[in-house]
Amino acid sequence: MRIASNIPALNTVLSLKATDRLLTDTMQKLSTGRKINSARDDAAGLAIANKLSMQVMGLNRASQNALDGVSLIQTADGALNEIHAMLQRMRELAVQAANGALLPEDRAKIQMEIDSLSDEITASANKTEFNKMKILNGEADTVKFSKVNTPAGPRIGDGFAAINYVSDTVPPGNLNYTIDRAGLPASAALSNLNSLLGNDFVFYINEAQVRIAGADTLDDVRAKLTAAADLAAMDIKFDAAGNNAFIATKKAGSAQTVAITAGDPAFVPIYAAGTDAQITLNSFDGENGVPNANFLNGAAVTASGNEVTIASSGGQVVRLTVKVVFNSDPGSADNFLFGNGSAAASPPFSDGAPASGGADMTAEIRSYGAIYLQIGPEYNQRMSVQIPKVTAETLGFAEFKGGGIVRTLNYLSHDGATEAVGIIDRAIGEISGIRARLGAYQNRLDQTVRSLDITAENVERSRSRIEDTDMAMAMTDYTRLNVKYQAAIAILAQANQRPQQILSLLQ
Amino acid sequence: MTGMSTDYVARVASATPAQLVLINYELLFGFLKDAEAVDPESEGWPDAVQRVKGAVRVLIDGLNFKYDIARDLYGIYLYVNRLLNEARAQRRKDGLRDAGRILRPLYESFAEAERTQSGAEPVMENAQKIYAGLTYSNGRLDEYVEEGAGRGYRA
Repeated sequence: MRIASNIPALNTVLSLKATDRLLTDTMQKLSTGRKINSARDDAAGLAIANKLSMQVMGLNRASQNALDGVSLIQTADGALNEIHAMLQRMRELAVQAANGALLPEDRAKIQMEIDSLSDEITASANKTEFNKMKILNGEADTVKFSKVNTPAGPRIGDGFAAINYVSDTVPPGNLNYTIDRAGLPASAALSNLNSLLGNDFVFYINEAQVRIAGADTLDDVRAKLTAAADLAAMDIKFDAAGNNAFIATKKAGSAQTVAITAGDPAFVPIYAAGTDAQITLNSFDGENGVPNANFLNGAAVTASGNEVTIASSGGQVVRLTVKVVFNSDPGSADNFLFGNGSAAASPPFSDGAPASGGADMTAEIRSYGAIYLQIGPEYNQRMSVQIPKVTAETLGFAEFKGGGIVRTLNYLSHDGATEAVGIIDRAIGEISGIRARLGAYQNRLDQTVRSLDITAENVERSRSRIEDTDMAMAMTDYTRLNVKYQAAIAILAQANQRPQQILSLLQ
Repeated sequence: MTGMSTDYVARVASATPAQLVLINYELLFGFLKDAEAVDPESEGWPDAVQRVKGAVRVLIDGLNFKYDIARDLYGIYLYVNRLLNEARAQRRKDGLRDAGRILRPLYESFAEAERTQSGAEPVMENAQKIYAGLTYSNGRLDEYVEEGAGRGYRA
């Protein structure tokens, strides 16, 4: 019998201390709601729980990103809806203007509205933005470069040809082609205007009438010619002396004609037609440099004026616009030059035909540049949203002329109005196509959001199973320890049943 | 269940307050086991779960809120009641298992408390005194009931 140490008491104290520690631990689990509060509790569990937490955060963020993507697409679609409405109006006006019963003044008013709608479309495209990012001016589209290959190396080729439209099935790569000749407007020279003075004379430039009165001066003649040229959708230039004029249709192409006619049989009529651009396809190299023969196999090239459409047998489309500028000095050897303006530029080209060989061009179509939405928690889970440029230029009713963009829809003439119907129909088709693609993007994003949310919920549940306290069990644990700690009190607290109640359970 | 009844009546007659609690819990576990054997889609399901709820009800009735620990127990019993209600309504057995899982540690701690606090008097006064012991026969446990067949009633 040992009396020096009170072993029973020590044992009791140890047991109490152990119970006390357990009570504290359980209390912590109850108050934090977590059963792993530090690595000491469950190191492996903590590691897994942390990984799952990160995954849930990533999933939630991706879901938010996808929703932001939906907002972006809806913004673009809203603007495209407005543009669509403007195009419908333009088409309605075209049909109205094509009616022969209209006076020139009526047509002029219609033209004003058309011009303003055309400008509004371009303005709309340039100012539609989402989160300060422009989305309809080409900045949300994959990058495309137009380059000209000179002996000194590749140079920016936008002055020669611009890439207007690339359908989304065209693979990224370099399309190498040669511009054999640019399309030219129909043009005619009117020389020696002095000879018109002193007589009453009526003649027509296409449908536009020019009525010269005997008393007219050279200035008057020039003014009348200019007015008629405007009506006929033509450009007119005079030489320094003002005695010679050169007129050309605003648009290039074999469908463009100039007809200068008069009732007087002594007048020799002048007829001229424009020409279409001509290009030769050379090769198509994939982005990695590997040649892609499939693209060019059976590809058809059609040119309407300077608008060249390359359609592959697989339905992929690339549309280029060859740029031509009206030379400022008529009567010089070159009436038309390539859009870069200077004949001295290397290589030298004139009158739409290259001096030697063709303009060696490359249209580079890159795979990057579109908007990437990160729609998953892991690296490389992203979706590319490609929204092409939808200005008047890319839709086909504005062209680069001289130093800027010129509207080319002409409602002042019956022919022009009829042609406009076709152009606008095509533009409407393109807008509808873009909207259909945006709709597909949106469907995909909606689906992504749904599945991300479900996954996030499941992962969160897994994490919770590992990390979170089962509150009922924690409470039970806590109470059980307390019952042990304060046995007598616990019995007093619970043991107040009447025997009859227990017996009644047995009925 | 009927076989159990006679055992329990005897035990209840001579039970201390703490032992009554244990009997309460044991009945509850018995009812839980019976309910687990019933098909949730059958007609007997609601009644089976109701019996379990009855036992929980008696546990709740036995609480004295003068003591803080009664509040903790009350919270747990209410939660168990909710689990049983859901099991009954949704016709699922999960709730029964969760209820058992939660209540078993409490039963064990009360059993331990009862052991350390023995020395109380039986709750039922004037009841039959039941002695159990081995008689001189081989391995038989006989019950010998003394005269005085009172059942705890004073009249």
